Amino acid sequence: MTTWHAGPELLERYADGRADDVLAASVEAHLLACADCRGRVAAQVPAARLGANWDAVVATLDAPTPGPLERLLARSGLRASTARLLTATPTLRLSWLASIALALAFAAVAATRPGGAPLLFLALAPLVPVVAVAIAFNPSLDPSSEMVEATPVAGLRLLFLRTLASLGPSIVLAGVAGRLAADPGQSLALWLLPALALSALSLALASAVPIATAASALGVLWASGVVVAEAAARGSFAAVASGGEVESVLVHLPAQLLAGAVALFAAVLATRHSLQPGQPNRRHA
Amino acid sequence: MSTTIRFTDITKRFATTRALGGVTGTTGPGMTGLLGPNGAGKTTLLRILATVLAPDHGGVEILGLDPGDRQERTEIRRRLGYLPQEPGFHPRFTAFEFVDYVAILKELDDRRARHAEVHRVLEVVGLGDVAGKRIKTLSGGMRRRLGLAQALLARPEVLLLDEPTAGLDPEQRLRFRQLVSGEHGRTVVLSTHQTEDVATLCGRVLVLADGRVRFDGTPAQLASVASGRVWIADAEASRGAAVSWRTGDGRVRHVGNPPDAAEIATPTLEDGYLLLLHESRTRQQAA
Repeated sequence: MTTWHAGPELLERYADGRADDVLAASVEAHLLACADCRGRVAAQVPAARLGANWDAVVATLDAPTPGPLERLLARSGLRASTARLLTATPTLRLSWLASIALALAFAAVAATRPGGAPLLFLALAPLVPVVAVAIAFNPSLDPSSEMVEATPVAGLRLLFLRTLASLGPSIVLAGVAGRLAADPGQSLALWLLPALALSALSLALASAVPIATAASALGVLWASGVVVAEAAARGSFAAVASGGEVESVLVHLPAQLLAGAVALFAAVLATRHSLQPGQPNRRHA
Repeated sequence: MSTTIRFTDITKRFATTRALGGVTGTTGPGMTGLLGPNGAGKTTLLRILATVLAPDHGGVEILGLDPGDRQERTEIRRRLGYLPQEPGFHPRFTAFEFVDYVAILKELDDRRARHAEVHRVLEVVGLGDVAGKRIKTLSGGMRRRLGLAQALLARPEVLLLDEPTAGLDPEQRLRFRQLVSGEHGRTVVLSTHQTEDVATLCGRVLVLADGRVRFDGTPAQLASVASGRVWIADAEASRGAAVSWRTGDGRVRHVGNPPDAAEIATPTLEDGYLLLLHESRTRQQAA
């Protein structure tokens, strides 16, 4: 029980928000213990200030709390709103990242085993970014896509952000897995350009067919292409199954340059398509 | 009255289905109702107007801008609010987070101003109290209103609502009507099955059937389509009645040719609409 009370002038300054931090803190400490002063101050706070303060409290309580990734992106200089758009991409969910990490780990283990198959890794690694892109742009996995598409940010900017958000992590994860595989120096150089080419092609084709179809078709084409090319280099399909170093044309410079050119061309196509309404994920057909 | 939306002879085809077969119309400020049976092309038309879908042929102009041009389309999207027929949500988002996410996509970049706007629209649709709740815990009606909240962000000049009252109970429907009728000077196009919504809200109604505009006028004009052709009788059967049904008082309402011993009744918008659909169907079968 306190016998001391805050003076009217002090309470008025506190109520108007004119008291400095130290003074305000001591008034607040007193108010907690003193019902009399609480009663007197309640009548003095201007209604507008009370309303604004209340709104600020509610806004703080309701405001989304950025996850660790979003905070990291924002801290590294990205605009907070852009960071939020990036992290809302379906592919950045932990479950998805965990599943590609697991798939790649299996491929890497298979490739590093004595007498293992670097070819398996070469066939699978470029498909990881393709699947990531297909997921990021698959409207059935983005329940809000219909609303999102009618916003001004939809189109080119969202295409870039989503592509970045899906290619980035999957390439990093596949890169790490590649380092663990038998042929650390060469593996990233081997599959990176094909991966970009396949991803860009999926996006470009998505203007004509659903992206999942485009990505699956390209995936099958790539995997069988790798096997056929390797069989051609070794002379028979039986020789492919025996494991060992990759010998096919895919490891040579012209094939890599071709992949780079395809990636560039398809990226331009995808960009052009994203400028049309109802693109790039044309599930309407 | 100025025109905010103009569409001329637009067609849209999905694989083998013709969704729109040459639709022409205009709307100005105020509420326009889009009535039509399922599969009439209402949703396709709204999606084209929302710039989500491009027509195969024909011209669209919204707020004097061409959605076929990239920059003009972005400008349209800045001034447009759209509630799709089936708004989907990330169930892990809270109501606030979801609307905030759409607000970012609507270029409300300033965090403080954006949060204030998110609060405003959530309050408007009566979801202020559940802003912090995860969407998966909200009821169907609440989700519907959440969809509406995002459409209201940044006070759009054009509001396109695809069946906004579907799944709402009568009280929620009333609340919705109060909500949209309070906004003057804005162009609102709403598609619906509820002739009641159109009768109470809209100054203008377009009836779409089988991919074509079958009627364009005021609700009173639509009702008068059935003028002199609505009958109340005690008997069930009727020669050539387009539609007939037993009403709550036990009598039978006929729209079309009069049955025996019938009294003529004042047509409602629903009578006009049903007769119009019946005649359009009959004409189609004859053709």
